[in-house]
Amino acid sequence: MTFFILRRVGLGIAILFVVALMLFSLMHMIPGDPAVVALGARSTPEMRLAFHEMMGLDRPFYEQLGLFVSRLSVGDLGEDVWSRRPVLTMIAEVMPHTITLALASFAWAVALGVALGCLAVLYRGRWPDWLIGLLSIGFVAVPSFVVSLYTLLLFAVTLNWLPAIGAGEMTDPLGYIKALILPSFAIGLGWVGYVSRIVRAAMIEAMNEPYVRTLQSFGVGQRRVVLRYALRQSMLSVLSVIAIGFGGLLTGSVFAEIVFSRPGLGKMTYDAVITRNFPVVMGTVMVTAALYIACMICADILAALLDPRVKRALQ
Amino acid sequence: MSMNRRQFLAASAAAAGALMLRPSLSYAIDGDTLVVRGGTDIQILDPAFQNGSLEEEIGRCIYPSLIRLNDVRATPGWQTYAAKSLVQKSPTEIEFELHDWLEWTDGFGPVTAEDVKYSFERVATPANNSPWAYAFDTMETVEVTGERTAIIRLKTPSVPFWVTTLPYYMGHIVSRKAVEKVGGKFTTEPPATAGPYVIDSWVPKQSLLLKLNPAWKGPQPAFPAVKFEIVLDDEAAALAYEAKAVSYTKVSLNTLATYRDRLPEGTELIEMNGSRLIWLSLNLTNPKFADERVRRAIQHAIDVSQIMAGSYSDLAQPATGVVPPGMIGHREAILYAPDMEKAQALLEEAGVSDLSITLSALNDKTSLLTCQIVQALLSVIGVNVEINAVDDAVFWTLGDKAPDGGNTLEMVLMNFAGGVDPAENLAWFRPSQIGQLNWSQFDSPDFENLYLQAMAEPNQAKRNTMYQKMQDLMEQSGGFVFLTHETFAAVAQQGIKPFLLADGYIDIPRFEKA
Repeated sequence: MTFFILRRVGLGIAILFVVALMLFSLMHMIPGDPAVVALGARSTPEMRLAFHEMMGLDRPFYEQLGLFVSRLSVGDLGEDVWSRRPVLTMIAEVMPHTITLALASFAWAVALGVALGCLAVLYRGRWPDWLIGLLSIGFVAVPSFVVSLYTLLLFAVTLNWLPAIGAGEMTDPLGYIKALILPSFAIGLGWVGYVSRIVRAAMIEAMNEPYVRTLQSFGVGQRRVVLRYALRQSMLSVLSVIAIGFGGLLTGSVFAEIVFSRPGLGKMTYDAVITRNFPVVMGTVMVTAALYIACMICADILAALLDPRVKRALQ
Repeated sequence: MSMNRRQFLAASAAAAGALMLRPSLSYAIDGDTLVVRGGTDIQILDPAFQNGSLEEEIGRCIYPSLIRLNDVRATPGWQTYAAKSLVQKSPTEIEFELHDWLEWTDGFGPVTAEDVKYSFERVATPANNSPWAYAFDTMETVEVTGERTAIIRLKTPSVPFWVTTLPYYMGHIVSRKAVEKVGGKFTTEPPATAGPYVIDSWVPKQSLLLKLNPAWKGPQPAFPAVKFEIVLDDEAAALAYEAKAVSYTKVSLNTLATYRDRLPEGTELIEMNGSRLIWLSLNLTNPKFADERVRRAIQHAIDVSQIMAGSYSDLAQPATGVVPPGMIGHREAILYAPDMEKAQALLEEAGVSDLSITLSALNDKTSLLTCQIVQALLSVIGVNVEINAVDDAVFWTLGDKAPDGGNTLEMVLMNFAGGVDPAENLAWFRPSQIGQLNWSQFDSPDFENLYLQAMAEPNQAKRNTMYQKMQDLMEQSGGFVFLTHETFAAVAQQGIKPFLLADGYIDIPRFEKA
């Protein structure tokens, strides 16, 4: 198992290096001058030149890449172009908000998705099953920014029940939770549809297993069979999808962060791309990629732990 | 009545949920805290290098300046602020004395004339590469005559120095000792401040809280605390306002159109002429525009009222020049009114039949709409327009000189934030700005002479005539089609009286409770 984990981690590091290389190349190919954004339209060419020298942007591409990789290997993501604050500090400030948002969205997705999936199996072939199917596809189809806007209009603007902007403060747990409800629901809703369809499919497969037929022949009730036995087995196959989905939730939060004016990794990356703040783009994308890879490794490890066949296949 | 563990947990969860979701009256009113929208986050609070609207607004809260301007909606003028007295000894000498109660935070002692000298000269010194150095072009030196007294000596008389340099961010005073202690520059953590507020806390990308500076002995602000909620998007800010998350925010023209019909309850809608000029710039050195008749045909073909209707929903007024209404030098009318037949005739006279122009612009919605209308208008006279839409970081490099010293730009939809004096609006069209911001490559010695004369001219009527003449020269060159100064719109909750400066910047310490 140790060898298996080491292999996965090694592969993750290799993927990170490729991501860094691709991103670095992309950023140097897109037009635009970070000095213009940093110094403003009224800056003189001399000021822009000085800025390029200060940022090392006047050096050859390979030199800049080498410097970035060597810094990255010691955990140094560089400094923000304007504020000169360490990118790592900036990421550490917003990361808790992003992780909490992703976890809360994940909670919505699992709680509602599993419940709807179970209900669909319990009423398989009848109208609740069809209705859940329709709803699930609808949840997947509606973009998260649309859900963000409408929930904001209803619950924050019209009813004034929940805050419209900000992430609240950790020192005020109730306020923090309130600020989390709408954005996490907006992001999680799409995943509710996915999870419910996966749970339904996996449970239908489980219901055809011999042990389920044995339970049914012993007179165990349908509800008990579905919730107690079939659900457990079907969750194994749902697990890897959910783990990978968690990585997606980390990156897919950008719209909700913009609509609800929440600090977060997604919005920080977006702003940095717009303003050509290269160190921040590199830092946020590398951290996001690392988290995504970590989620995938965790999913592989969990799957391998729970099912030896998967472990053999992955090895 | 009995309750098992499961029922108890369910009931507790339901009660907690109900408490959390109970209707709240407002999120913006929190004791005496004024909550306003911040349109950007802070990045640099050093007045010499700051570059954002929120930084400017916070700067007014934490740094003193010698003088400050009146509300843009009131009588034009200024009042002394950090200066107890400030007098013009001669056309090139300004003598001031600082208040004796001004004190730096963090134990850096009193605010001195030496601090003023240091603050101004660090912006002015070319080696420091401050983007605001141009504002001190006319300043020669600051001669310190006592602990709190000094004389600012100018190279030439300058009216704009009084209304742009001294009261604005470039004129904010920092502590010499404190700044030198941190190496001569700082970003988000000012080493010492002396304004009416101090920064209490900053949650990056989310909010910034200001509290009263206990050492401040000047005019007391009406609000003991101010919270800036950082909302970058204008539409999101309007929603935040409607949800009572902020008490004051600038709004977009889209929102203005909605609010004119359906204003949220208890709201004051503020509308005024903006100072952001939008114009079409034609590169006078481009061979396509070598013939004056071609340039004039384009000027006659652009019916600005159609752009106002299509891009601005008739919420903005056509511009007549660089100087906005209400400022000296404003022109009442343009020289070349829309006339399609005349435009067509001029093109035919010039023998041009297959002209194709690239129109470069920012990629925001309004700019793209404007470009499409220009495209349609010019197609009427047989001119083909290709739109090149780019983002900020690319756009502002378009006017840079090519390696051969020239520039291949053709037509650009330009925009620029003006100031409070016509000199600031017109400075960017001087010959020295070619290769920087004079993208029309407009090279007029007459314009330059008038600019220098007007800078030193104390008679406002004479300045008015000079600035109008300068805009005539611009239009006569054929390199400019003035479109609009946009419209500034903001909303404020009733009970709050905002204090607005040019271009809609706010002065928080002078917000009042209505």
